Amino acid sequence: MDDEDRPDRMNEAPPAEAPPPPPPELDDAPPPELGDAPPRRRAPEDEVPLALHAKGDRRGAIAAMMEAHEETVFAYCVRELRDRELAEDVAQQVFTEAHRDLARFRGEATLRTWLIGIAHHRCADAIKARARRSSKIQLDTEGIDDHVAPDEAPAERLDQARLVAALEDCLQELSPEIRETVLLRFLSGMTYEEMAPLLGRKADTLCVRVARALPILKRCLERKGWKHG
Amino acid sequence: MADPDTHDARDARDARDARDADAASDASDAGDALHAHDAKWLLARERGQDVSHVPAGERAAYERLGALLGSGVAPRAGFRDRVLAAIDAAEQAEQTAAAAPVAPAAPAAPAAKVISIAARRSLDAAARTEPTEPTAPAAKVIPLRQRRHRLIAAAGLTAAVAAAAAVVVVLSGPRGAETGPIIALESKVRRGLELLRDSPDRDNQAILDDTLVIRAQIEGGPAEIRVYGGTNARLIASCKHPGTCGTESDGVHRWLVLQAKLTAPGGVHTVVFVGEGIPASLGAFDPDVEAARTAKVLHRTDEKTWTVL
Repeated sequence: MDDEDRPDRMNEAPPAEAPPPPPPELDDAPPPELGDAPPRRRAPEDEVPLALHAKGDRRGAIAAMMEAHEETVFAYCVRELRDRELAEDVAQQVFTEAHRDLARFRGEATLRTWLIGIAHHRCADAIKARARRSSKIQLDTEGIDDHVAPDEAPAERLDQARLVAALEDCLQELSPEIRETVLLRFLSGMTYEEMAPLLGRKADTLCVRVARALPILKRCLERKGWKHG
Repeated sequence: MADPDTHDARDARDARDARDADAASDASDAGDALHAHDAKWLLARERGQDVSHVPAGERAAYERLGALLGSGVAPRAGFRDRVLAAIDAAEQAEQTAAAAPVAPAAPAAPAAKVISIAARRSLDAAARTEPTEPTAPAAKVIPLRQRRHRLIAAAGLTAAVAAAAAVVVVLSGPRGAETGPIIALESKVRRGLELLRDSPDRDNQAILDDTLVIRAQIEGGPAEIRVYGGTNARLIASCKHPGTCGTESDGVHRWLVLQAKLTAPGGVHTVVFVGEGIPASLGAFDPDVEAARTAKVLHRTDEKTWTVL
């Protein structure tokens, strides 16, 4: 996702002195419902799942939703948790909750935004649970081939897989708060205004985080051999 | 993660975040000035401001980085099937729960689970509850012995209705008379002689040569338990009932038991299939579950996934 993909992003950023919204309670937080505004955007990939849901086919709706978004949800979870097994568990929980709560989805955000919002809360729960039990965190370095499209040539696949693995290493150089901001910015499709209540920070603070984090990530990747020219 | 706090505390934390971001960079690196330059125009970009003055090559590098950050990651093969199987199992459980209130005297008791418990609960409930006497005129005094007889008769009738309803539920099942419900499926790992504690926080890790012990409680049959593992979720163990599955009973419940040695690293999934016409295994989790779904054979995947290290 680049700047051109989101021309309206941050055009109406709130002034820095605007009072921040209350932070959410993560432990018991329900799936996010992003305001009471009328439906304002529907992504093309949302059409099929929402049409199936409208026909009463919840299972089909979830299958279609997974077809469109499972890789994004899993990417968010695996980059937040750094543990593929746990990330799969959490991603499964996300879609199970989505199946349960799809009737509550009112189309005020895209399905991707909604799912990543659920994933954000469930990853937070998983991180807390992991911290509580203080077990050794298994850093996952296997299965990097899963990161890349199967239709790429083997050399390109390996390069891309190494690059994604390097990126996941580099993300660990960021503090957890900054990392989750960067991931939400690039994976969720949320605007900074939508991210602000989720993260309990001002939208402009989140802009600053991302702007400062990107050069860190770029330099880290360059140290690992990334050539972007 | 966000915590409720004051604005001052939040502002202080924002400042700390900024310091973190700075500290995370290599301060001794000669590229600091470039870093600051990039951060400045990136901030403008993130605020939606025009950054066309930035050379296209500089912008392109960050656009590629953004694309990389936004790229998805494929979960392991079969992830979608596992999620859908879990959703199916949850729906089946909901249907079973919805069928339970058929037993009028024992709304809280899961009638499909165990007949004797449902009956006993309804009997207990009836015995605890002061019975109303809608047919008796208020002024009429009923002798104590007669009230006791009526109480016993009411409790007996209630118990009989509950038991009959439970039998109907059990025998009919969610997919017809030939397919009984799967009441429970659980798995534990045994290491040597020690049965590992069932972890409440999903830290389900095993090591090579541990033994997975699967217990399934079903009503009706036939049934088959299958265990899949390794990197491709291949079939590693199975048993059939009646036949090769072990059984345990406490006099009320009957459990089918399968023990499987874990000899390959990776995730382990357990499925129990119940009913006539269970399709023969195709050797892997996904095709087996799909075949069962196509054949409309009741099946449930263990919610707990063990990881063999």
